[in-house]
Amino acid sequence: MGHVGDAEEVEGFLPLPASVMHIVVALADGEKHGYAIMRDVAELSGGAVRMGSGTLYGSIKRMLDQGLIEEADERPDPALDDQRRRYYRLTELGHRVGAAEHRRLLSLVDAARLRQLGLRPGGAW
Amino acid sequence: MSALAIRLYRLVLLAYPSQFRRGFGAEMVRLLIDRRRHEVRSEWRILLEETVDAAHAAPRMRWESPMNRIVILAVVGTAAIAAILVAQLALIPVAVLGLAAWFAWGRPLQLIAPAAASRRWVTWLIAGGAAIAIAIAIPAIDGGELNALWWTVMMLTLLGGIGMATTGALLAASGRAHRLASPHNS
Repeated sequence: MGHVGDAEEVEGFLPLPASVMHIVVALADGEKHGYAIMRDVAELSGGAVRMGSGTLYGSIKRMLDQGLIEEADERPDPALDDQRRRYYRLTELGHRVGAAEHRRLLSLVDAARLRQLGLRPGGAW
Repeated sequence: MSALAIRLYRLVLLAYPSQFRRGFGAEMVRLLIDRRRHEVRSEWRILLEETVDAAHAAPRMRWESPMNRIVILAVVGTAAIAAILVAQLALIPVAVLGLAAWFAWGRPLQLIAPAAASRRWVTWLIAGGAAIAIAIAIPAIDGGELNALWWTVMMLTLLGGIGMATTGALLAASGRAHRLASPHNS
């Protein structure tokens, strides 16, 4: 019963807005501060997605409110870093929601592949 | 990053809701400085990009805030009431027709509402205005963070207020029409 409730909680977040999914992916390998997230998103998308600070921190605020991310107390390397920066990391819920969105996108890509989307001129035989 | 560019960026940040600015304003300035330090772009190009981003993101955030939403709804409601008050001028031709009918058939036409009810328009207007004022005050009392119950109470109060004020305006128009249609009553 608990698993059903958890699944429903995760499903309630899907589909994730593109900006949120980009941030989830950027944070998947560890905590980062705002600029590191922005740079990571640009790199992961090959420069196609460039978030401004308003879009980035607007998404971060919503994700904090929803419990998908949290502020990290410790700094990766306090000696090298500005103490005024805030670092963010995925919560347990954020990890589960990210994984569910990953599965959803994979199944969409599989469906596109099965129908040979983009491989047939005009999209029809 | 020059002091002037940072000062200008702080002005751009005013576009965001104050609560958001308090939470993230310093970090956003920090991010601007980071961008200038690591990216091969002029500070004015970066400032322009952040301003364009603010033009997209800030209005959306302001609409998401219940406090701002209620102000927008109140302005729209007030404009609707003003439009109704202006529209009552259109009732003058109706009253003229009523007069014509009275002369033609010797009896006044029944216009919109009975004459006795039309005299209570001030009460409806005051009650409507008070309800709208209370609806606007609810988020201010609660600091702008409304739970579902308070949100529902606020919306019902606002809609009730607009309804009562509209009724008052219609009754005022009806009373005017009565006075025009029945010269002996005035």
